Amino acid sequence: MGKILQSMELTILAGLVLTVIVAVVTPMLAG
Amino acid sequence: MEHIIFNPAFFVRWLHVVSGILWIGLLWYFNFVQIPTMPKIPDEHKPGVSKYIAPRALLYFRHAALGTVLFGLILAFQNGYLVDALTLSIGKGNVTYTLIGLGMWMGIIMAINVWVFIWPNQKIALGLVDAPADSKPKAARTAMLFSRTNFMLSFPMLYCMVGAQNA
Repeated sequence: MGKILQSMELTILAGLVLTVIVAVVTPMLAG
Repeated sequence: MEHIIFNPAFFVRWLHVVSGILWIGLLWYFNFVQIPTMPKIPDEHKPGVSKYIAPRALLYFRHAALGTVLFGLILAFQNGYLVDALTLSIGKGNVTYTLIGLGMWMGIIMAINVWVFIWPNQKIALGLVDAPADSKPKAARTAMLFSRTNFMLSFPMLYCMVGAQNA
C-alpha cells in the first residue's frame, strides 16, 4: 500500500478502483 | 426562489458544499501540484513554499475539513437521515442513504486523518514547532502518506456524495 501511495498516478488508479468497488457494492448493501 | 434562499437546510447544504470545495480543492492542490513539484524546486527556493504557501494552505485545509464534516452532519440531522446514513441503511433498500452513508464515513475518516496525522506531522516537517531535525523526514513522509490516503479516498467519497443526490 505504501508503494502505491508514493506514486500520484497509482494513487489515482487506486481511487478509481475503489470508486468502482463502491459503485458495485452499494446496491448490494442497500438490498 | 425565496423559499430556497431562506431555507436553513439549504443554507447549511451551501456551507457544506463551499467548505467541501475548499477542503478537497486544497487536498488536490497538495497532491496534484505541491507534493510532486517540491523535489524539483531548487533548495534556495523551497522556503517560499514551506514557510509561506504551505502553512497558509494548511490553515484553510484543516478548518475546511472540520467545517465540511460539521455542516454535513448538521445537514443530515436537519433532513432526518443522520442515523440511517451512519448505519448505511444495510438491507433496507434505500440506495441513497447507503451511498451518502459511505460518503459520510469516508469524509469523517479523511477529516480525522487531517487533524490527527497530517497537521501534527506537517507542523514538524515545516518547522512550525520545535522538534529534532532528524524527525522531520519521518514526519514529512507520514504526512504525505496520509495525504495520499485522503487523495485516494476523495474519488469514491465524491462518487457517493454526487451519487446520493442523483440516485
